[in-house]
Amino acid sequence: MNIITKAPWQLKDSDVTDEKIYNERRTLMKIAAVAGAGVMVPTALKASSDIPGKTLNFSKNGAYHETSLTDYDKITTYNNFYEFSLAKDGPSKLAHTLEPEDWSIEITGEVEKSIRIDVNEIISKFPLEERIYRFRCVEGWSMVVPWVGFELSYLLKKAGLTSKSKFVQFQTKYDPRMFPEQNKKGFLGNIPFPYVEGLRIDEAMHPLTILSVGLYGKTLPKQNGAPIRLVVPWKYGFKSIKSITRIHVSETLTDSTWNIVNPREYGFYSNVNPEVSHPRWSQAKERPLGAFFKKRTEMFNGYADEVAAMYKNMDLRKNF
Amino acid sequence: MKKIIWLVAFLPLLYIVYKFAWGIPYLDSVAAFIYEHGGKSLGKLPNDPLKFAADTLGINAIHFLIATLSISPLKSYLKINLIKYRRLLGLWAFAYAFMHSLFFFIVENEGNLSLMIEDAYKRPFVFFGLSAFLILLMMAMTSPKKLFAKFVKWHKLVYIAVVFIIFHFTMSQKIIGFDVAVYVGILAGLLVLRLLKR
Repeated sequence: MNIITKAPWQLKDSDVTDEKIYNERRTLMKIAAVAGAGVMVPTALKASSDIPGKTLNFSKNGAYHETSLTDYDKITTYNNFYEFSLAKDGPSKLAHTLEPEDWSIEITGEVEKSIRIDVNEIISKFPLEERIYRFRCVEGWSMVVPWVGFELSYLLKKAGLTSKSKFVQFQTKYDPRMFPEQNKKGFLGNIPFPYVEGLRIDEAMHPLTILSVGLYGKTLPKQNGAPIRLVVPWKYGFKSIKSITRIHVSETLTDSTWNIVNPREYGFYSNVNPEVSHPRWSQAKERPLGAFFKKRTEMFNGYADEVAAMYKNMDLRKNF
Repeated sequence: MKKIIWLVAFLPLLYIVYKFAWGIPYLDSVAAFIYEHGGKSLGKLPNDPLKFAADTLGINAIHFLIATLSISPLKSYLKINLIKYRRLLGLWAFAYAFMHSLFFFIVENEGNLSLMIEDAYKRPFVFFGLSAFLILLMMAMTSPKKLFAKFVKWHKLVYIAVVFIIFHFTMSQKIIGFDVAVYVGILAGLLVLRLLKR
């Protein structure tokens, strides 16, 4: 194998195909790792019949597993979903107005062809797998979630990337009937809506980055971002945008909501980094949900082996 | 009346003990018993227990501070004289601020004084919180009658403490929600009432 002198995101325009091969190779490596290890993934601890939602068909990806999952109850009653409430226990009580059944997601911008896909089609036809990921909130708490989803790259490849595909922006559906707090747009007491988030194209194409349609084997609860959300496990949780309706690929850096609200506190990258503290929260440690003691936060939330190369020439204090 | 204040003052503490009991062997069966016999609205172990304890202690310090600062406007505007309870209320405000600060010191700063000083330097909301606490500490220590007579002027510093607490509270929030705005409004209102009196 050649020594790569350039980081993957510095590819020349003519190198886009190589990136695809690169990603496919990553997938092969992962499959090999799983087959080799023969790992049995611990199944959801709670009997699946107790968990609401439609049962999903998925395979288990043993490359991503953790020993202790966060309780289903905690994952679904401790949410930052400002479209419903600023309080963590608010979304689980208020998200009933969300109607995830008739939902499509469109991919627009710098792609070969714009596409629109029904989420039901995604659920029935896409290769869903369970990924058990650590999830670290910028506020200092964390959990371990068995997501069900598929690699975002799979969807982006369907639309086809071009030499101008440099950044990807995601948008939460804007519909104040479903998301009551969206009516407060611009007024004191909430963030601007619709919520948007962004990734660099190499981050978006990274095999760790998934779109999730479920957790604990069932379709996503409304408060967790039904019917489809992003999960980027090495970044702070607010990057993992919920209830996505639009994915826009562009050539230039795009807006992300918290970066607009407070650029000094929330950078575009927002990679989990115990060495760079937030003006309000030290990031050296985290509080796993339900625990009385903190634990140390790991670089890139423990995914440094997979993702550190993407940032190797960057000053992570400046690009926080 | 004093008994009622004492009783009310202990309720938030009992609430924290009850919530934490859910996560501690043996005590959880006591908590379950309370829950089963009508305490369902009390809920179970908080999802983020450390944040829950810190927030509950902090907000109750503010509750008692508001109560303390309401005493003199009640007297001058509504002719309701509760001045003899002011010291007790103030001491409870201090007690909660003390527990809040101690909790933060142990959990957030690992009980390390230099870490706490560094933290106060790095994070402005910690600085404001700590400064407000030091003012309340001075007031609590000089609250016995004889000392109070000597230090009564110094007790005017409570107005600075209130301003610091407003900064501390709002700066610790990601977004200033409705409830936070109400607290800030009440605290600021109590300061304005004093300015108007002059």
